[in-house]
Amino acid sequence: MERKGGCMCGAVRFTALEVPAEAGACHCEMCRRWTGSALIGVTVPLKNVTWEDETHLGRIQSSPWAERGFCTRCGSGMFFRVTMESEYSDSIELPIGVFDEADGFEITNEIYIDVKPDSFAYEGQAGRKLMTRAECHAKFGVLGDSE
Amino acid sequence: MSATTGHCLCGAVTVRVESLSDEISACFCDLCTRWGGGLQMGIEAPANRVTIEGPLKTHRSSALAERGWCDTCGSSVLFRYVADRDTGYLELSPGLFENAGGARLTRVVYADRHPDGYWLEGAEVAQVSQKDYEAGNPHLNEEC
Repeated sequence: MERKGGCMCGAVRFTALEVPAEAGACHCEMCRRWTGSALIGVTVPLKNVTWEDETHLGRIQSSPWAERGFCTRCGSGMFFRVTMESEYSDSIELPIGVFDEADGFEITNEIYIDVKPDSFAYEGQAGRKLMTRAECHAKFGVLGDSE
Repeated sequence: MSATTGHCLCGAVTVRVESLSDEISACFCDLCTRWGGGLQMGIEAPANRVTIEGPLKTHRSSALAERGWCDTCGSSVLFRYVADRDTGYLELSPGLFENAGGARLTRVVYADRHPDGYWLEGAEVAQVSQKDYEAGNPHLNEEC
């Protein structure tokens, strides 16, 4: 379905098409440091996301193979994207909290689950597909060693 | 108490704090949900015992509060009240610290406002609704 969203202050706005209801949580160290807790996001084809105005959309190459975007005016995290040419580079991960309507998503997987701090947990973990850090590295190994 | 040190994703912002709380609170108000990508968590820290170095950028997110992040990588760093009753109250992002600084989630505010797709585990976690939070904080004439 089509969903609109934006950052906290409204400087960065977007429209996304074919947004799935299935979301994933990532507990890797980088996502943890970036969000403060974990990155809960949905994967959308890159071509389906249109930014209305990129003036305040900052980007950081956070690893040799991925970048993250954030609002340079208010600091809201806006996206994670694999930049290295691969089967993953045609899509973009959007945090579900930046959608105007954040209801209607379901977390169906949690990755880097074994490095999640035991400080908190998302209810319903037993019913999800879980991947450890080692399993993630095996699956995404094509991208290199970093998280 | 010994100092706890932390840093953002890219390492440009470093944080050193004495007497970091061992409790995490999470917030589902609209601003925190947007800012943190689904919720925002924070650990209370005494403002006068916190040293932050690096490119911290802040945004006044409401009449009462501001939020700070790393201007290089966008990592969430802090939330603090800068006006009215709670001026000086500071929360640091758990993600800055190894193993969330050893803190544990103990409280969720605006609990009734959480997106319907996920919820936090733990019967021992105190849940405070928007109505109750605002009743206890009557100076909040808008979301924090």
